[in-house]
Amino acid sequence: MSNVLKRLPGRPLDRWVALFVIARVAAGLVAACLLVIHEVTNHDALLAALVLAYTALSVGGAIRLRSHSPIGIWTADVVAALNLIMAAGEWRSPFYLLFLSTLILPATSLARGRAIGFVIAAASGYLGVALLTGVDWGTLQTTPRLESFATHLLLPLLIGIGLAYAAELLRRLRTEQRRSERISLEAERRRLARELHDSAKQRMHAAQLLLTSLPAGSEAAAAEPVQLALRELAAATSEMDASLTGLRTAAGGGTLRAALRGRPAQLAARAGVELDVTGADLPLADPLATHVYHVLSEAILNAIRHAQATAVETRLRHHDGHLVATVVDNGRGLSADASWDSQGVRSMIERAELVGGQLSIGPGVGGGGTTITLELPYAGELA
Amino acid sequence: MTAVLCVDDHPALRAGVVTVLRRDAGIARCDAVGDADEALNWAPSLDVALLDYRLTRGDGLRLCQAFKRRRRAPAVLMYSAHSRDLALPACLAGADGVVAKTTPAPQLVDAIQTVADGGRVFDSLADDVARSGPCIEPEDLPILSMLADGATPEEVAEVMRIDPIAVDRRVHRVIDLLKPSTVA
Repeated sequence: MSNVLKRLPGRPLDRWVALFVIARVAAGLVAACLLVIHEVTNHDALLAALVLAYTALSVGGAIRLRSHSPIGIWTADVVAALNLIMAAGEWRSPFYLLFLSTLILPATSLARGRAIGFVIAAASGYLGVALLTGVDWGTLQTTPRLESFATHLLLPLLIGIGLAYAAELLRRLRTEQRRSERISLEAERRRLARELHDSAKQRMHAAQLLLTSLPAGSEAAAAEPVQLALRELAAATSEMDASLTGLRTAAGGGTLRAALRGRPAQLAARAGVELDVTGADLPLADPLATHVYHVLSEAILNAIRHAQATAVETRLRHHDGHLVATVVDNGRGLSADASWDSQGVRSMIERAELVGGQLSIGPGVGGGGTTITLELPYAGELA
Repeated sequence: MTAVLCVDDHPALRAGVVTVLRRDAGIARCDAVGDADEALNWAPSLDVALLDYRLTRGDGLRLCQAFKRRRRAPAVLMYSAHSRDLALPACLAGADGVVAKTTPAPQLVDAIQTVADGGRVFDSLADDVARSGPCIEPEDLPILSMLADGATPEEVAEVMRIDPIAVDRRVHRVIDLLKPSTVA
């Protein structure tokens, strides 16, 4: 028995299967013992053997199928238990526990509403069987027997509804756990990227320092490779500076528009490009907003650096729980094959998908230039 | 002859600075340490300290203030790795200058000699005051401008007719507001 339980991994649904196995085996044993000890029907031995066989069968089936048992199988299980109760002839039956154990898997696997519906249907089935096997209304006059009848009827409802609620809470807990894991993983990834960047940048500064220390006017200092190397180092450190700022962005409040008017606007001004930021605004504290910022700033940078645009307009619109952000430039446009391959565009698309949105690239206003559109569901607040 | 101490947490940068500065005739000795504690416990005499803004266990600006509180305080140059680092908080913390890590070696040596002789090296200070303007309370601006120009806190207190302690407190608040955020 413990081997069986050990083979079940710790996923919550498998814990419900373990509960079912324990309950079903206990119920089967109780039924068989009661049949053997007292005379219930004329075919006690047969019924005992039948119930034990059925117990083994259903336990094996549950372990094999786990959570994939469709409603049909559960219904058949309930019907089989009710039939056994009928065969024993009375609603107070050795098979009652067996009937209760049929409710465990449906109550914990179905959605809460359907689970409760299933349980109510099963309890009604039991009531029907009780009526069919003949309720002696006369004998129900005494309180203990009336109380016993009421308990027998209500117990399946209590157990079923309790299990349904417990299972739903567990499901919600799992979703929350997974979400927070994902967020912390992403934060960790960003931190590592920052550290790597920082370290690499310091090494470049060290290299620059060493190269510039060559005595001025000496042959070594004037050599073309050295001069070119110095230029490359300078370009590399300035690029890393920009991307490090991007990695660190949105650490302390502020809004999306303000962030767009920060570094991207600085770069635009330096390149002599006019940058216009209009429309709705989001608080950067919302993690979605930082992703939107990265996509938009990447699009703006592309427009400045590669598309040779002179004017870039960024607009954010929010309606109906959706956010639509567009970056339009009047540059030379993206040629068909270049557009979907470049690294920058790929990272934009990845970010868009990460926040559950869509990125589309098309021609700009009047056919020339480029329009980049980011659409995503956004239910947060606006700034 | 100048004795220089470089405080930076990246080993490659320490090695680069030490190599470059030791080759210069005007610099008698140059050493490098990795964290603030080692720097504060540095026994040999020191003329110029070259400090990174960010240290793994510590803060460059706070280290600058600690150095300046000593009786024979060394000249302090802040060594800035990012263009976003502001010179203004360095000035308020008592530093004698800020140089970027992109500065070529000859200029770095010049800057070190300048502050060793008592001068100041602040290239972008005016820009920084303008850039950080929006973050600062209007009452603090005159104090900052005077300090940026080279006035001592006592002179500022006298001119503004406020307590020197109040000046200190305001300056600390502004430094905390403007200093670069740490990596983690």
